[in-house]
Amino acid sequence: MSKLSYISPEGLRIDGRRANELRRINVEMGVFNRADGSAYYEQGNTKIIAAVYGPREISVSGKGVFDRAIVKCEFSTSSFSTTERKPQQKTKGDRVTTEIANLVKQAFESTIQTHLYPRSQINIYLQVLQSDGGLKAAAINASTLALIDAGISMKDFVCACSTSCIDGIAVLDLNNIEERSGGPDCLLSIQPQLGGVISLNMDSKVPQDLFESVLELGEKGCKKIFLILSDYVKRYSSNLISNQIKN
Amino acid sequence: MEAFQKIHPLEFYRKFLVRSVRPDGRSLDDIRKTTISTGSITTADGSSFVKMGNTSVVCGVRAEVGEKPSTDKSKISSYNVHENKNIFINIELGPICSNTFSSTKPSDIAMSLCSRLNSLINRLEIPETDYYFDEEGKALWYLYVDVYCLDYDGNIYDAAVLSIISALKNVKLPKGVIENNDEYYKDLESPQRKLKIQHYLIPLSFSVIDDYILADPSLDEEKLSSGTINITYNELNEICLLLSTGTSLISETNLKDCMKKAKERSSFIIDLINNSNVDK
Repeated sequence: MSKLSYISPEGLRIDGRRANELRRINVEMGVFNRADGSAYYEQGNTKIIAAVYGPREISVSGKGVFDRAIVKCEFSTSSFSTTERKPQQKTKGDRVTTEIANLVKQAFESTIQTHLYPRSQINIYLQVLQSDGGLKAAAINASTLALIDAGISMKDFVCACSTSCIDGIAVLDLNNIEERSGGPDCLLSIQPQLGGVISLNMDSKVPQDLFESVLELGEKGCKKIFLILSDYVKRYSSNLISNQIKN
Repeated sequence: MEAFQKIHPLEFYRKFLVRSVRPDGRSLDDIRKTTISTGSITTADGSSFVKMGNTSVVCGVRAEVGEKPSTDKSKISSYNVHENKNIFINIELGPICSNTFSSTKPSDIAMSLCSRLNSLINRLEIPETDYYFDEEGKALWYLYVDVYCLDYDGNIYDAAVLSIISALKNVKLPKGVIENNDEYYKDLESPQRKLKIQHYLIPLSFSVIDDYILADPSLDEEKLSSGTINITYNELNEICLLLSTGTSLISETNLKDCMKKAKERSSFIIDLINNSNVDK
């Protein structure tokens, strides 16, 4: 079998994007009535929904902290979300999903102003409807929107983006096929306005100078995502306000 | 007003029911706005999204190839021969759809609903030859139907049934080829086929509050109700499922009334399912 070429001589990737281009992002906030906050996030073919409950009473007594809120996150994939069907038992609670849940939890524990909600908990539930790479980044971005919808005070957005390098070229926002190319997978999540790095996951060895270019591209990607998200949030909230005035 | 609703929800409802309306503006027989869309999940072999008022469910079907089970009579004696063994339905009511559900163990509602739906699926009467992977049927397709509730606002049964039937109607199976007895190939060049589903399922559920019977109950109404009635017809007006549960007795005239209302809904539902599955 011939080696799949991930980047054509013209510099185009499998799905026709250039190395520094994101997939189309589609977002929607307030999709559910029952949850305190909810959001739908679509990046290319990756579709994910997030629901936030809270701040509310702590479900397990004795687990609460007296001066701040605790954040809990649960991540599950639908059994039809990937090309191979996953048995029901494995859609949550296995290593990969627990890792993503933990990643989201840590990202938002440091971003939510937890001291404003003492002795309470905030639950984030994530459900993947369709998966085509970049799940971790999508999970973080979707949670940001859902938390904003819930009206929970945060220091900043958290925007995440995956980057990698294929054949020595840094590429942004990988899809499923590219993720399996064996290149290093780097997830960067930042607070775009405060300029802090929330998490940086890199699980491969990469030369120093290449890593810097990957990181730089990742940061650009995160900022692009931030512009899309903040633009939507502003439109959404101004709609809410104008509706309220009408009533 | 709001405080009254919170403290005395039943009394609050009675005040409305006396005047034959419900707090959300519907009359007792009104059904919430129902929409069906299909094919939005491309990784699934068939998918649908159903919204009834605020209740939303997403359903995906994945097809897998498996060997034909042995037809040895002695082994399957405990099973009903007519029972469908090619479609497996699972419904997930996770914490995402309502804060009453826990994530660790499936709720009683989900489990009982799941078994009811699995028996209901036989009523679609899909011919066995339709599951054949290749022409002779040495191997069979097995369809895994997964229903996820995204927003739980009552009447999950109706939404689940509609999502399952429209997702199954959306399924497209490729033609299969078997070589050397155990090598399965999908022939992706020849056109994909659809399942021959011979019947429709037209569900309608009711909640009983005092002597009033409310069609398509919302979650608040389900919480207050003393009984529920699920009726499912097919397009020939044959009863596929009739279930009435709860603590209160239901008179025969009321039941007949409900059945009449369910029948009246059939043409609307059939149109809805057909329109959602028009090939683009």
